[in-house]
Amino acid sequence: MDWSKVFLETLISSYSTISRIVLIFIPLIVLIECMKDMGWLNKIADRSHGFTRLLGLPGESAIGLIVGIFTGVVLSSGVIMEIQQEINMTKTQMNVLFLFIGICHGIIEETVVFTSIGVNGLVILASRLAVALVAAFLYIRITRTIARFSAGVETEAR
Amino acid sequence: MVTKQTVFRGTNKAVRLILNLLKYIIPSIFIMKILEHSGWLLKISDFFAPYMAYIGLPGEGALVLMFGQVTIFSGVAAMTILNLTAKQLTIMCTVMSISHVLVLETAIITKSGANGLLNAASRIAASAVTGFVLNLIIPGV
Repeated sequence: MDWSKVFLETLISSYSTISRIVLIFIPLIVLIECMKDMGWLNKIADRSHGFTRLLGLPGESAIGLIVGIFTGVVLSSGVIMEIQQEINMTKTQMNVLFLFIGICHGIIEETVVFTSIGVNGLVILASRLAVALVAAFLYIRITRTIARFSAGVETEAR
Repeated sequence: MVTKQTVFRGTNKAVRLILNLLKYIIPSIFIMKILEHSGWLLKISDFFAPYMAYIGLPGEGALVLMFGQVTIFSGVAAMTILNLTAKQLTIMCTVMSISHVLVLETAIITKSGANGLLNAASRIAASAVTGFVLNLIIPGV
């Protein structure tokens, strides 16, 4: 194995990933801080309450969800870690949030990349959104069933 | 009110978050590069090649999906070399768009406080199911 090649390519790949993140991340976090200071974040949280409640999430997580869907996992996890310090989501809510973002993220960049080799971007986009919703709902349903089951076992034991 | 302080605070936070995430990004990229150059990626794709027929792809499709784990662009580059029909391209792109760069993204997701293993497993399962369903419903070859 050619180790020098491995190190070199790791450096190049890390550099391109990190520079892209730095270029987007700092303006994005500053923008979110500005929105927080102007009170827009609360407005967005109120507006998107319908959709986030569908997934059993608090309204404040909407900004993380939006950033995740339009940019990528790395940026959204940074934003979500910021939000998490303030609103303290439960482990289940975090799992639902990242399940959705994990399946359906970076829709602009990735759809453009795939469309450039001649694939119908709409098919990819629609199936990703649908799959993400189904996976999130399934996870919520399964955790609820498990919680109900274990609660039932506890009451029976008494 | 937005003041100079807001910009400073935002920049400070962003730099701290980036430094925090770097510890996870660089090792993940390093691991994938080792896998790529040591030939393990080929071995893994050989293992999965027989199962590709279930989602309507040729055996080489496993290799493309594995290259998609390094970066999404190397996956796309590998895809253009193969001679795929329009249906196969659509399936391949959808499957790859759901489960790509899993090592890096799972590391980041675990770092942010969610269950990474659950996330990666459900992404792989979701991509397999999506490929299977798309193979059934897309008309043509």
